Amino acid sequence: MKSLLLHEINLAFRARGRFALPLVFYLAVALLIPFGIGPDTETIGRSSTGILWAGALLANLLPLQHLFQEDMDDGTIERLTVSPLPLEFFALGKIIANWLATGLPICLVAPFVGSMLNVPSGTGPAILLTLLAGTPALSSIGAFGAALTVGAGRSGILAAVIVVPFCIPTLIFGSSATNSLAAGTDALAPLTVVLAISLACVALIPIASAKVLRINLR
Amino acid sequence: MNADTERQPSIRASGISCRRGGRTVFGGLTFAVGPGQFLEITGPNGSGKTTLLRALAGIEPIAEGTLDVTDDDLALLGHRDGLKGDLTVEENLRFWAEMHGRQNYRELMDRFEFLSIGQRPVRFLSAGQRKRAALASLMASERRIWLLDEPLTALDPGWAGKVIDAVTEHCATGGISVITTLEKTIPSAAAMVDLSPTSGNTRAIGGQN
Repeated sequence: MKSLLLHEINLAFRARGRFALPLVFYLAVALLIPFGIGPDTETIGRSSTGILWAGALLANLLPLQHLFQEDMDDGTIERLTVSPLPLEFFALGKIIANWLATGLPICLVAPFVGSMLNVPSGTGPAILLTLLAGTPALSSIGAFGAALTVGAGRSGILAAVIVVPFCIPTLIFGSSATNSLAAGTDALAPLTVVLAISLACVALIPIASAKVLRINLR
Repeated sequence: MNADTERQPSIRASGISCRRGGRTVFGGLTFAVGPGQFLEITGPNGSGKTTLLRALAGIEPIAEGTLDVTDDDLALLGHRDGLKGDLTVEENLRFWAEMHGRQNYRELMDRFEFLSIGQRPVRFLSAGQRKRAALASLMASERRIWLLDEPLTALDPGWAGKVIDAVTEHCATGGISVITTLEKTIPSAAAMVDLSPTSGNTRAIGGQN
């Protein structure tokens, strides 16, 4: 499992700048929206958590097209089905590597992007904490969409259409947790919901993804 | 090799058939392969060689018949070889060795003459070199049943001979090899399944050894 994880991380970062794309996209979204809103810093400040969360959700859709497609096309999944490593662990490794390459960098830059979006001062840690709690869910749900549509041709768009509705609860509770934490009100309820969604997704989605990949192999 | 406590590798197919898209690809195949045996599957393009191989690997569901394969001792090498173009030969071999809990990939790099180009990304290799790397990665898994889909294509005669030697050696140490070829090419094959339409049905020929 450890060597699989290292292999996947190696691949995620080796694939010529692909891992940088979601990050650049995230920065672009977060920096362009204020131009659209106009010079009203107060409005921007109030929309900032929404922008940060929706941007994270959208950036997370970008790597889905390649997530399982390449392993399907080059025969890796076919060979792994007869290897001693269960396909479920492969899916889990893929999710973790994808989160490390996409989710984690977004979490880390979000507080800085937030300060550019005029969030109330001292909100940075709240943004980081809540995104860290929520992005594993986004990565897992995305991986399931990718597994479901592998081999469907142009699967990126289809996966995005399937994935987005399932990401909405994470978005709602996540941004609400950020806002509550930042405002100093009780954030425990939304934060625990986000954590619960993430934990459930990371635990269950590898199993579902492996099942779907086996069906798609036929 | 694996411990003797494990059960002996075997493949037993009895009247198996496969359907794809409502069409019967092949039907009524009966054959059995045991330790040390070498099965060659021949037939023209589209006759179902790859489908049969994937059925043996448990990827393709069979429509009829019974199939009993020692499925915890399989290694499959299809046309899509599972090598990553962005990674070097050594990294690919290490990955497939480690996925099977093995560490022996270095001697295979030596054997397949990858010491000079082992640090090159696989996408820069020629088709034949890539085929060699794929076979080395299969051997790195140290499984006892090998399912090989047209392993000799793209190889020059010298390397094709070495690959046949490796497969024969694998069988000699108690392994099983199942190989697809376009026409019968491997003299040491103990049994043969002919999927060509003119053969009527399967001829499972008892072997010389």
